Amino acid sequence: MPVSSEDVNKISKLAKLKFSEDEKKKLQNDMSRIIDYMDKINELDLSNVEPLENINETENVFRDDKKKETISREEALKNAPSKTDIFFKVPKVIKK
Amino acid sequence: MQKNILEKYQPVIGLELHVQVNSESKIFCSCPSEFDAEPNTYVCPVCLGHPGTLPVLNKLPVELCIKTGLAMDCKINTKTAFARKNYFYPDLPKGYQITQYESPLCSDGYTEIYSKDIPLKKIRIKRIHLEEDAGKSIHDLSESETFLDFNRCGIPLIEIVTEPDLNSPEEVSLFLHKVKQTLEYLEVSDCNMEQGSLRCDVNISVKLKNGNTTGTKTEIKNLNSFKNINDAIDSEIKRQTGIIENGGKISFNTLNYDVKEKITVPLRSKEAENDYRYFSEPDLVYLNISDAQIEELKNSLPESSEEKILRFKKEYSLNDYESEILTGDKNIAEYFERTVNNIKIKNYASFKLAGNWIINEVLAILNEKNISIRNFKISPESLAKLLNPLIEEKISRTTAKEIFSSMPAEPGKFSDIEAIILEKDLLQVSDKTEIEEIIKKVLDENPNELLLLKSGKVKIMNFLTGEIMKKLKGKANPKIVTELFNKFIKK
Repeated sequence: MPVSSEDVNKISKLAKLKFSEDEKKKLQNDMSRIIDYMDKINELDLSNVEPLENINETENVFRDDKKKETISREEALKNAPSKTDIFFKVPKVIKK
Repeated sequence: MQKNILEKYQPVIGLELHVQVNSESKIFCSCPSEFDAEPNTYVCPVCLGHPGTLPVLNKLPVELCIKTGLAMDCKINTKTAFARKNYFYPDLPKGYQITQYESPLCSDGYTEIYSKDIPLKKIRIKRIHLEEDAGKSIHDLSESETFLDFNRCGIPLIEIVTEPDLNSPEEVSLFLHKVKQTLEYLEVSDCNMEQGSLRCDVNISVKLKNGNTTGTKTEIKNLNSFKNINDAIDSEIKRQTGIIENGGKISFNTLNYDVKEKITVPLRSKEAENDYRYFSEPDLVYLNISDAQIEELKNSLPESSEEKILRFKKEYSLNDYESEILTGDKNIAEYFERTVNNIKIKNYASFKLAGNWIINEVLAILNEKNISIRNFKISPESLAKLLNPLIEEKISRTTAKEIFSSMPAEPGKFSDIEAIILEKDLLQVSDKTEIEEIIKKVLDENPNELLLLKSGKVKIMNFLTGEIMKKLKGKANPKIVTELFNKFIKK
């Protein structure tokens, strides 16, 4: 299988997600199938094809540099599970 | 730094600069991009990373990024795209930063540095691209929690990446000053390091001077003052050469600089282990900048500092030193030119006088008070009002300095400097009979000094002229005093 169990562990760690051993097996299987399919596509000779970074063919969508205040601080903080009157709060991220 | 170590090793340094762009609104939403607002007041569902929101690109940062590239002789890449840089950190609510990866807006440029100790040197610019800033974490308000302010989240940044062409802390400092000056001239950023609008990551390794293998590099993150950058580089060179001298090996490290201890501290390798899994940003379309737009931006570039120096030399007949000082800061150059515009007698002598007055008097006050010229209370128009009577020899330099030194305290009073001069009886005494009388009086009062002078003690002359000027309350035209004084002695 092209995706190892270490790969699954690494990816779940990067995604900050926890899985049971059974789920990990299933993920390893699914991801391996995706990679296999990509390998199939890689069989095509694409040396003369420009890489496509975006599937949208529109270009240059801009807005002018104009400021606008949209929501109040109260609204901004409304859905936060942990907050003060003015700040969002998270568990301490720096250990001294 | 120990000299023998510096003789043996050469540091190899590359920089990554993050510059906050002068824009009214953020890069992907219309929230105000201001520095000093109340926490979490300039935020919206887009910059807070709420599901279902979409970014819309602000045109101004794109133009400013291209202008920066043009000023640094970069290739402007017409077709570029944005990418997602994925990592989890609380100050990044979306879980990814929108940046440019495969295709930066500008690449392969250079900027030149030189000083009296460092000969002209090209520092290659690898790339300049656009990205968004993250929020601010506040760690010291609580023991157990980190507080977050997302006002900064989404403020447009320009990232400038150099090739490892810098070889000493002095070169780094020169380069940073040059870049800062360029960005200020272009009005891309105010480059205020204290407010974090210019931040710097330093990549550094050392190699033996006579060898060609470069050592393993380390990266010092988030330095935000010229002094810290200089000290951090010094300390890191010491740390690396120390390890190598003792037979050790440098491991690739991300470091923080501890300002209090003045040492670079490696982050735990776990924290430094990055895997950003870049992929193209599906919510934003391609940027496709036409040659005509690039040409237009090129034509809109303001005069560079180099061009200004040349023009100041030609137009105002200033020397190298004067031109360089007066153009060092764009705002000082503007102050000088506005002063000159208000000078009545327009000739090289008066331009030089105005320039030197700004260099010697105005800049001295700015340095002493540690303020920028924008916060200087005397307007160029008021300064010209003071310099006009000096140029016309109506007042002496001493008098002008006296008025000038009292100006900052009473700015409103100097709408009519000429009235003050009359009111306080400050007009320069050019009346020869009056001056002659005083000279005679001083010589009569100091017969011994006069004898000494006549016997060849030339230094006593300063004392005697000082006495004369004192009696004339500094109002005399020194040229006339010296002239008459010499006539007296020869008698």
